[in-house]
Amino acid sequence: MNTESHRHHASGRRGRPTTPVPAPVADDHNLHPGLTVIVPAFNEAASIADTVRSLRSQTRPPQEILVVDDCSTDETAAVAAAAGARVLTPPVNTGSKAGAQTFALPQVRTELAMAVDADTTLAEDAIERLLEPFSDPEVAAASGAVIPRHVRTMWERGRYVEYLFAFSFFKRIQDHYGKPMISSGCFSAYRTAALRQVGGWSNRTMAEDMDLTWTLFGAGWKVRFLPDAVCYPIEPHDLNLMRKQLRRWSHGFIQNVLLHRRGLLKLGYLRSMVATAFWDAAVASLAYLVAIPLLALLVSPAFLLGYVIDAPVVLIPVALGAHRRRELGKALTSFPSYFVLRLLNGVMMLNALIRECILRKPLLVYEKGH
Amino acid sequence: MAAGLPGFGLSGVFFIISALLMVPMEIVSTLRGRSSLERWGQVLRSAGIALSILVGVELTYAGLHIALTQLSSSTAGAHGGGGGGGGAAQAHARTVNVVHVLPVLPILATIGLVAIVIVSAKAAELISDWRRKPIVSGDRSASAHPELRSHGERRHTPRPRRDPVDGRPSRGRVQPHLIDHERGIGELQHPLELASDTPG
Repeated sequence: MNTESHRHHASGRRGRPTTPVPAPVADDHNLHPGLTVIVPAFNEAASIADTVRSLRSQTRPPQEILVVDDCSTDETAAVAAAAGARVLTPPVNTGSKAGAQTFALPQVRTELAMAVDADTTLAEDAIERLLEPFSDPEVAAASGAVIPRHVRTMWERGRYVEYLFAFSFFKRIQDHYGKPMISSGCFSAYRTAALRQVGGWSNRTMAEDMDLTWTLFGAGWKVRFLPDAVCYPIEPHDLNLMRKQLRRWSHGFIQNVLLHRRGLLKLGYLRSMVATAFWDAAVASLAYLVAIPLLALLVSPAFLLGYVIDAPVVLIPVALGAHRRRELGKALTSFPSYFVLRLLNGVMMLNALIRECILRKPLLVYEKGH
Repeated sequence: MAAGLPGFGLSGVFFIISALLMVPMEIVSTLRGRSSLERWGQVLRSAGIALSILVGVELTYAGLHIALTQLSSSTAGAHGGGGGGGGAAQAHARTVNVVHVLPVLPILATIGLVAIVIVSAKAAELISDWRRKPIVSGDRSASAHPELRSHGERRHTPRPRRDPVDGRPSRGRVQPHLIDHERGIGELQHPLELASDTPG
């Protein structure tokens, strides 16, 4: 899953009952060539200026940068405007990153739209590279590689290894088979017409980027992954933030599997990928948290090797990816942190599985992690 | 595995198999004139990583085997002593064991499990087809939970006409599938409803 990025609001759920709302009008005739970037932001005064500056200094800068200041209580709007963005403000907090992004969608007048998180900067040629596949008219979305901007704490280091592994190996294979599992929410470009057809980003799950990706596949569009288009988000630096982010990701994954279960069945490679990932989500979590400790206690301590037995498997793609970035030392020193993060992944995933599938208590409140 | 998912289990094996299968598939594409050097570069890179991983697994397994064997033999030696001839025999046995250390059974079992999971998913598709009308597009009407309700219906045919980057006319394309879906949202108010209330 890469639920590489879903990061937004600490706000609670809105109390008003849902009423039928029509999907946006797809006025595609008025779209002109070019790119509009949508940056959803809630209390991002500390990072939004870097993000906007990074967008403006691209080798292929966007026509317009829309920052959706989702009723922040800090100076996000002023900072973004000063940095050169056009700021949109909903009348009330939309309650989620998806809500803020979709709020801005009717304002997009270009044929391509891009979603970038407010705490994410881009490599200077990232947009230029990410737009390459859109010369194929069947491509609706494209995402790039993600590398944590800061790699200092154990959690950031674990995430760094996790990303190096995924983007050096799995995502490239997924792209070759035409089915990237997710077009990362922190940095993805979309064909505006396609985005409008599916109603923009939905807030019905906690992983709006996965939901959108699978919906686009179901609608017959192609989605691409471009490993050379690189972005640098700020990742959770402590346990509390990481826990919140992983809670959203794990619940979001399960919610999307449940939501798209029928549509997924028609998408051969994606179906197989999700089936094995879902198996891992359940079985690997149980193995890490229950089976290995029990076996180590009851049979032999040697079973504790199960926690690190696949270290070389993970290390090879990570080392290759890090070597390409000339960050081998950083990757090697970060490597042990990966196993700690993996344990936390297991805890959060098992909890999400139990709550979503057994207790039927879905996560409905979007909590900001990072 | 990807970020946020635990473990390198079936997904890992699934992607290793996928990477290795890329080679014969690309050969077929090449024979059909649909390949390129760039694609071959990607294929060989992924297949190379997959092969490296397999070698890494084998070396790890062999290393563990040696370590555990030595540990057990030294424990046995400490308890029972032993002559020089016995030690040489043990060393020979270790060498033989290491040569035959490839974990064939676990590998086959894991691949078998991957196959079962994939076949089960395919079976679910066939059962779904049999039980109900086939779904062509992304099913946005299905809800994970009653709380995730669905409503509304739209129908569109995407009509991209120009290259969106530079505005040049696009070459001919296959029309994407006709989309027929219902849009579902959660309990949150849909932001487009907010947008309609917003001036400008």
